[in-house]
Amino acid sequence: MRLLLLFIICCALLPACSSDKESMSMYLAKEMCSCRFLIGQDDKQCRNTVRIALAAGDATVNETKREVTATAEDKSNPATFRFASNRFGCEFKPEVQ
Amino acid sequence: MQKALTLIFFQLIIPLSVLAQNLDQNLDQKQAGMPWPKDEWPTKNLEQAGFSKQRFNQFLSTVFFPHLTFSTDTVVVIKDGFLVHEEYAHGFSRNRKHALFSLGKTVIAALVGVMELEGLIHRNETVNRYYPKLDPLGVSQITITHLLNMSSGIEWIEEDRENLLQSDPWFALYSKASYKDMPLWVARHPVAHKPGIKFNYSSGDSALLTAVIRGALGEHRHASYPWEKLFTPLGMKSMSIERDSAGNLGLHAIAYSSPLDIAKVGLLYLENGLVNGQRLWPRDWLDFSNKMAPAQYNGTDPNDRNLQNNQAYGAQIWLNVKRPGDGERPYPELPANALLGLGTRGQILLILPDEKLIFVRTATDSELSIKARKKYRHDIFKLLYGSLSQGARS
Repeated sequence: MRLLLLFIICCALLPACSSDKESMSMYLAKEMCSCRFLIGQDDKQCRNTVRIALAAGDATVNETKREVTATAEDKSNPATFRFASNRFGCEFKPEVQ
Repeated sequence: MQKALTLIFFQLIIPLSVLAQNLDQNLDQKQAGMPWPKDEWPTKNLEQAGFSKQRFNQFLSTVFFPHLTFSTDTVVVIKDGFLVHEEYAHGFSRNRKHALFSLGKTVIAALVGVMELEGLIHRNETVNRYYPKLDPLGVSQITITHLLNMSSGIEWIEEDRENLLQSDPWFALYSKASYKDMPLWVARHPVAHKPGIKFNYSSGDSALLTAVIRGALGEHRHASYPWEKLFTPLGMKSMSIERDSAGNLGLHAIAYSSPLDIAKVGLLYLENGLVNGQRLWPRDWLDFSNKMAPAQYNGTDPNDRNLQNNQAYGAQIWLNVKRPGDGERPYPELPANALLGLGTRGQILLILPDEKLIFVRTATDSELSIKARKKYRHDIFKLLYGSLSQGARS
C-alpha cells in the first residue's frame, strides 16, 4: 500500500497514533496470511512484500493453525487472520482479540 | 372468438420471438472470433503474433528493470486470443495467484452484467431495492449505474491530496470496524452530493456494489453464484475472494487470481460478453461500460482533493478519452478505445479492442507519487504498443 510509508513515518514521530497502530497490525496480519496461505509464497518473500510495515510492527505465523497474528511495534493492538479455504482465503478472527 | 384471437396472437408472437432468438444467435456466432482458452491459452510466438522481438525485449527489460519503488511480478501478453508472452519474478509462477486489489472492480461490473442478462438486476434500478441499509428511509435515488460510474455522491477520498494519511481505503480495509461489515462501513459515510452530479473514484461505491449483488442474489446463492455463472464459464479456476466478518465478498479490493486468469476478463471485454458462443452479458453492456460517466461531463477540478479523479472512467473501468477540459487523452501513446483496469501497488489490466491485445502486469510497487506511477505506465505502454508491427496496429 503506497500510504504505508507515510503511516510508518506518522507512527514513528507521533506516539499517540492508536488507530494507525490498529491498522498497521490489521495490515500485517491480513497481508501476511493471504500471502503465506492463499498465494503460497514462502515466509521470506511474504515478509519482503510487507517489509515497510514490519518496521512498525511484528507478525507471527502459525503454520499449524494457518493463521497470522500481528501487533504494532509496542506489542499493542493484536490482530489475527486465519486461512479459511482456497475459495475464500483468509478471514479476520475478532474473537481472539 | 377470444380463443381464436389468442391463438392468432400466439401464432404471431411465438414465431417472431423464435426469429429474434435465431437472429441473436446468428449475430453471436458471427461475432465469435477468437478461441476461448480451455485449460491453457493457445500460444503463438512473438513474430507470428505481429511483434518486433527486439522492441518487445526492450519493453520487457524496462518492465522488469530492478527499481527502488517499481517491482514487477508478472507480465502476460495476449494477442488475438493467443498467449505470446508470460514471465514471472519474485517467487510468482503460472499457477500462483496474485492480489488483484482494484482490478476486482472490473470483475464486479462483469458480474452485474451477467446478472442483468439473467434478469436478476438492472443497471437502472435503485440501490435501495437491494441494499436498504444504505438509505433506510428510501430518500436517496442512487442507482446501480451511479455506483458503476463512481458517481453516488457518498463522501469518500480515495487518495487525499491534502492529507494522504486520511485517505479512506486504508481504513476501509485495515480497521477492525470496517472488517465487521465493509459495505455497511461505507454506507455510514455522509452524502456530499446528489447522485450523478460529481464523479468521485471510490472503493466505497464498489463495496456497495458487492452488497447490491448480495441483496439481489439472496443469502443462499451469493457465495457461489460468481463462480457458477462467471468464473467457471470463463475458465478462471484460480479465482478467490476474501470476505469480511459479515460474509460480504470483497471483490472490490481483496480478490486473488492467477495473471493468466485475470487476462480472461480482458478477453470477455474483447468479445463483448461472448464466451464459447455463449452470451454472458447483454449485447449493449460493452457500450455501456465504455461510456464515460455522465458526471464527468460536469467539468473537472484541477484541485480536486481526491487525486484519483484524474481520468475518464466508465463502468468500473478506466477509459482513454478526453474529459471536457482535458488537453489530451490520458495515454496518448495508446488508441482512444483502450480500456484499463488499475489496482494499487501497480496492478494493470490493459485491453486494446482494435489490436485484440491484453496486457496484464502484476506487481508489488511502493511508489507514492501519483505522477511517477502515471509516468511509469506511459513508458511501458509506449514500449509495448511500439513493439507491435504497423500491420498489427489499428
